[in-house]
Amino acid sequence: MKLKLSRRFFIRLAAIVVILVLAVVMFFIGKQHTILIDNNRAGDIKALDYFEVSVDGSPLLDMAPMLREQFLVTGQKHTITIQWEDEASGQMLAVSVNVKIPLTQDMVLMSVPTFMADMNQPQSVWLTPFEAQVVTSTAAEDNAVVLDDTASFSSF
Amino acid sequence: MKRPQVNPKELLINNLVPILFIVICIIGIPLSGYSGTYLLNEILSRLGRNSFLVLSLLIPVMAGMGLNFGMTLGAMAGQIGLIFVSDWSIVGIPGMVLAAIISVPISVILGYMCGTILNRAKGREMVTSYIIGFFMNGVYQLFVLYFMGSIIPIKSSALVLPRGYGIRNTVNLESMRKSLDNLIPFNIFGASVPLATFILVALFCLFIVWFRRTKLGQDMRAVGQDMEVARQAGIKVERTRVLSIILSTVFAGFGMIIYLQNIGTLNTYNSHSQIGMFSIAALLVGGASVDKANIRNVFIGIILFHLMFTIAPTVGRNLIGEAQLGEYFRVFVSYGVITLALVLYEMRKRRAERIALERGEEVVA
Amino acid sequence: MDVATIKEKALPMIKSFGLPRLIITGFLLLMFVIAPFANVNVAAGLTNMLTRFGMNSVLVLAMVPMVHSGCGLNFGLPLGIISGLLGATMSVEFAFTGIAGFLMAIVLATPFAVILGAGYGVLLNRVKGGEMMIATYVGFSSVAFMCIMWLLLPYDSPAMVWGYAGTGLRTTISVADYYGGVLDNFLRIQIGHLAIPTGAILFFAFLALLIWLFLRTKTGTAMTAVGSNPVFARASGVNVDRMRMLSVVLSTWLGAVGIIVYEQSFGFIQLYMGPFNMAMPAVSAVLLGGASVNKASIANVVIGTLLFQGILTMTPSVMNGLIQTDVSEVIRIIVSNGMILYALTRKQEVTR
Repeated sequence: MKLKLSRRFFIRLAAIVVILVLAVVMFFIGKQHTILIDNNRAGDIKALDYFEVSVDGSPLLDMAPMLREQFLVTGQKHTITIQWEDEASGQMLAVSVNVKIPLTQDMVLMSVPTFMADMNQPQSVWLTPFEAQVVTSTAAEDNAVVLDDTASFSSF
Repeated sequence: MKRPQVNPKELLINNLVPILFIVICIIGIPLSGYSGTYLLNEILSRLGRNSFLVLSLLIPVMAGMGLNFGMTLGAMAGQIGLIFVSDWSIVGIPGMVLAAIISVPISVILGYMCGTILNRAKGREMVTSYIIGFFMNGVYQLFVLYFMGSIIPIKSSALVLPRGYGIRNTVNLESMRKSLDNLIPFNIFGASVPLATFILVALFCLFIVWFRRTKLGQDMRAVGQDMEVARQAGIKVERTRVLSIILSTVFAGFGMIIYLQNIGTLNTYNSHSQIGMFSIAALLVGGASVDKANIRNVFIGIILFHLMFTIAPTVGRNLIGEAQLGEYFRVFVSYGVITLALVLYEMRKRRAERIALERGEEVVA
Repeated sequence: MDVATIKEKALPMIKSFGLPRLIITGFLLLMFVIAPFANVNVAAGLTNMLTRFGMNSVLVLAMVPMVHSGCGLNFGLPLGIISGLLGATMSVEFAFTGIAGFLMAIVLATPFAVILGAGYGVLLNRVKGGEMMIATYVGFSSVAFMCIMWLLLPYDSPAMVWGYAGTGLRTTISVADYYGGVLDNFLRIQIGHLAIPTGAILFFAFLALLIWLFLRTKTGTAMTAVGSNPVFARASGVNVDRMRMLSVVLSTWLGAVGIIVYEQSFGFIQLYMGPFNMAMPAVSAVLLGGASVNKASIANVVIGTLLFQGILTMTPSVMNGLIQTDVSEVIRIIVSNGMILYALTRKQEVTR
């Protein structure tokens, strides 16, 4: 088949390019990430007594020591707001930080104690990739699937 | 084709299926005891999720290829798109769009294959497309149950079976659930209206109306009327038929994505297998036949068919004390409707042939 | 030159045998060759294959009369199966046991098969040309309708109804105490691991002989004439519609007998959605044996059933032994539907 460089061909090519670009854009803006907000001892830094946290303006969540909360977010750039009571003055202080999650990272863990110890550290120190544990099993009952096509009658 | 005089008996026979359904619904609704709001809510939601699928059947009917039982192929393509999107955790509307984009090449390949096979089985397109659906179901299972996670990279442990390959029985689409339906919140009489979905459906209807007038649409109708005449008029009959199936398959894929975003879970190995049957039954209930179907048939059909579907289990329980009975009843009615419509179509076709033959003989005499 | 002559000679042979059939036969032979390496007992495999041949062969035989009269492949087999199920459940209800139970099941099923088959035949006569699709849906609708009836019919044998409700038949009913294995165990031959269900095979041979003889009677040849050339048949004074109806009744009755034979070997009566997908394997088995949409012989039935059931029994065990994965269900779906597709798209059949 000879390739004809006609107007039609270019229109088709452009359409395919537009669709591919659209697909990529959808990937970026629709990608869901899980941010875990953690208040556990991290190395030498001990957990904070109390703070409140919000991601992208969500309602504030109370965080006691040893708590870990998860936030589902879409897209890569997010604002995490942390409020806490200053021990010296007794005033509520707040800090907002912008984080950028790598596109391919499904889950990240933010260690708030590490972050609060020194806010000027780079993001990679207090925001680390997190992998969920995978349970593997070869037992037949764990791997059973319903192939019977009459099974879906009632679910329709 | 309009008949010069309308014979009441003929009118009754031609609309036997819708009339039967109206009667079933009129008797059934009071027996079910459902409130109007509940039924309205249920019908609106079902109209939203099924319209696109049923509309995708119209194009092959136009090309004279009968009811495209091969639409399950499109449903499979849509599901594969959704599986990938869930694996990459792309959610909401972007997830749906991306799934739709992924489904297109798969649908085109499957549709091309289906159309080519159907060209080799002219005159028995329906039974062939029906078997193609079964056949491809086997191929789908081979890919999804054995290749995904082993050859095709799927990494999410929420999707892959614990043994390390194959997709689990159900895929959770909670992060996508009703994202299109609730995009534009709208309520009427206390029932929520999936407005954005309806807008998409309306666009599809406009597309179909426009498509009928394009060159390709005209060609399809010509092929549907008479293949030989069309061929002599210089229309590439085979190509036109394949295109009609490809279009139907692609749209069925989109329809499946819309359907599943409303449901919120994908039954990996079951969701697609009955969708063709129920969509076809709905279209036939709307008064369509094998060679004639329009947009009005789609909506009337979905409303009547799904009204029956909603009330049947409760009516069964209230009448005989068994909800199971109602479920069997609706399965029976779905199949019965298709049988009845096919029989009526074949009988009408034979009568038309006989009349044509008699007229031909008169001319000869 | 030698190669060319071989090719010249081989091609028509392959063509007449059919490429898919060649592939399947090769595949089955391969399975038997690999079997010992996969720790699969060949004798046990053969036993399985023969048992399943006995189970299914009569159902496949039910394809023959309708194909002969030009009604196409009998996708409406579930209708016959339902007649058989009615006979089988009634035989259990009246508590016939052993060979009497088996025979009574057939006797009781016969009137249903004749009545349903006659109605089905009348219907198919009115939709000539569109038989297969309508047959499929007649089968499905009747299965769905009987789902309702199984719940409602006044059966009350405790062996069959739901224990807690006292009404409505169970989904599976054991026939072990009634006529389970009456054919399979009749004159059973046991050599080491190899067992031959002589009774079932003899029963099939008896029915096949009857059909073979019938097709050679005056009525039988008239039926074949209707299938191969209806215009000629009508011209020579054959009542086409009557012949077609007779073939449908015969097919339906064979379907009824087939399911009873199936049950005695399987050990259970499967109701509700059980008969739903039973037509496809039977259709593809006869096609695998070399039949086409308008031509089917007893030899096609025998070869087809052996091949089809051979694939079904050998693949899972060999695959499991080799790669610890059971892909048999997928292979079954692809092979059986692929066979039907092949038959539907063959060029020479379009002429009818």
